[in-house]
Amino acid sequence: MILLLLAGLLALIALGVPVAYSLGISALLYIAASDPDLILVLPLQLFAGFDSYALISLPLFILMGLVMNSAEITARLIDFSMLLAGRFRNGLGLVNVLASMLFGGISGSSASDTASIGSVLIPEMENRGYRREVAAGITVASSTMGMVIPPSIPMVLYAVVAQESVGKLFLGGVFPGLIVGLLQMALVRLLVKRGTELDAERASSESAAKRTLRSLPVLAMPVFVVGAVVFGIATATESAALGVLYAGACGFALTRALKPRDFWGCLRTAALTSAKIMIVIALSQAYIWILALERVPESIAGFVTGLGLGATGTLLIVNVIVLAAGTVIDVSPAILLLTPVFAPALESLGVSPVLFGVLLVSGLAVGACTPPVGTCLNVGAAISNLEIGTIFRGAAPFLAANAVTLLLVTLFPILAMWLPSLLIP
Amino acid sequence: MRLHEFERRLTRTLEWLLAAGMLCVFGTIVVLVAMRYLFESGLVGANEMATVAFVYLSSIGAAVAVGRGEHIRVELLSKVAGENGRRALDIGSLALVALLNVIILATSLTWIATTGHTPMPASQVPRFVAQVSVPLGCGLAALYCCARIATHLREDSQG
Repeated sequence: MILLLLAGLLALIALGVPVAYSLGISALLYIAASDPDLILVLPLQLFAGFDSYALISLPLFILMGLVMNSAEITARLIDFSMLLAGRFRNGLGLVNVLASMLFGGISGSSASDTASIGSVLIPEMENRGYRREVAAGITVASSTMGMVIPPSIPMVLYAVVAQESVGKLFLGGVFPGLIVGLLQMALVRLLVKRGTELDAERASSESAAKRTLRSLPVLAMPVFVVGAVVFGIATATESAALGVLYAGACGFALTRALKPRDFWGCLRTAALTSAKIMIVIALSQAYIWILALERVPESIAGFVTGLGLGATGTLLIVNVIVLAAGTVIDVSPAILLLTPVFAPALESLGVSPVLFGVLLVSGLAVGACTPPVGTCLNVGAAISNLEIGTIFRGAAPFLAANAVTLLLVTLFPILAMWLPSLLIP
Repeated sequence: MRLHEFERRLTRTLEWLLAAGMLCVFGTIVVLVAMRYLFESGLVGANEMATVAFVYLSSIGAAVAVGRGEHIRVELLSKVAGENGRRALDIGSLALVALLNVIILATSLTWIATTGHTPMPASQVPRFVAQVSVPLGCGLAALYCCARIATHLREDSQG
């Protein structure tokens, strides 16, 4: 029966049926074949998936990113990154990675990072002698940090599914995100060859202070949002709402780029975007319920512990599975499907759910940059007018930084666990 | 043409409702935080009402996304299929989505009749107020599927 469920799901996804409805239809097929009386489970589980106060943080974090985007903060972030890294060799490449690190801390989403940073920096890098596929590749690869560096929308989703602390997951992503960024910067310095060297000159201290001051309110935002959760000032949902308020204040009063009409558009887009994720969550509930009924998580846990690979060996295998899954399935459904399957098995081996969450999101972030599904690749393709295969070739060397980080965090869990254990005992 | 116009107006109305609902959810949570820190008080049942609004946002938003063809999907086959193949895949997919939504709609009525009278813990509002979002969203999604199938078929007949 479980084979029918899995085969049905894969066939429907391959046929192009939306992932959410593929989950629902395969669950329906299972119920029809096993016990039609269970049909009432469908509306019940669907409603249970929607009915969560914690998940209200999802549209609010999306709204926060959208409002920040409409507030045209990208220019300030790029200017600040230029101040820090622009004068070095391959400066614009470094600026691209640095701006993604900063933007990741504000938008919580890789796709909006690709769109915002890419639309400004890809043409600029091309003007300065970078090949277009390299410029697009750096943009797409560096945008993976948006999912890992807090606040992160996929981390919120994982926290709700795994019933873990959002604050711990946010903190768990800090060092892995920074390591990805630093390694990508090193790769930009080492690997990128280009024709002209025409980056920024060293700024005078007066100008540097002025530019830093100008960027400070924007840079303070992730500290404000994450700090509110970590120090128990507000729940994740409340801190997301406060983040929207802060972003709105930046847009209306600071940059003055945000108009009421834009804000209304952001509200509509946030509701629609979150609904697309929420329906996957809601319809996956019936699917997960069936997996539990068939004792699939227990079977996998038994199989995994029976292998005798230990926590690290198992995590390495899980990393490979996550990377493979990420290439064919989008981040939200992948989190919803993989978490209930692997989390119990890993917990039985003593792996912290926070560590698994950080590794899962970091691995799936790579998937967002790989064909055929890669959301960031598609956004990058739309901006740069390149084929996704070409962009992937440009991004692949920099994605090595993500793979190395995954390996490092797997081998040295303290990289993800130190900050959460320090600040949230 | 009339169907297309109806679909366009429905989408515009629902999108307006989604934006307004989102504003309400955001506003409620900000007010709750402000009340907690400024006046050390809260609003009984406000969290529940924000969740109810969120449930409606999700179910109606999912239906609108069906109408706009924006749901998360893997486009492996449709990318290699020709124009006709792509259309056939889309019609098949929409028919399956419509079928699932109709089945959930039908079964949800029984479920609401059985459990809908139970009050919510804080606000004491009957649960059916939130539960109705399920048949509403499913009904709208099925309607959008039918409209899109009709549009495809008309395009087919016009060559």
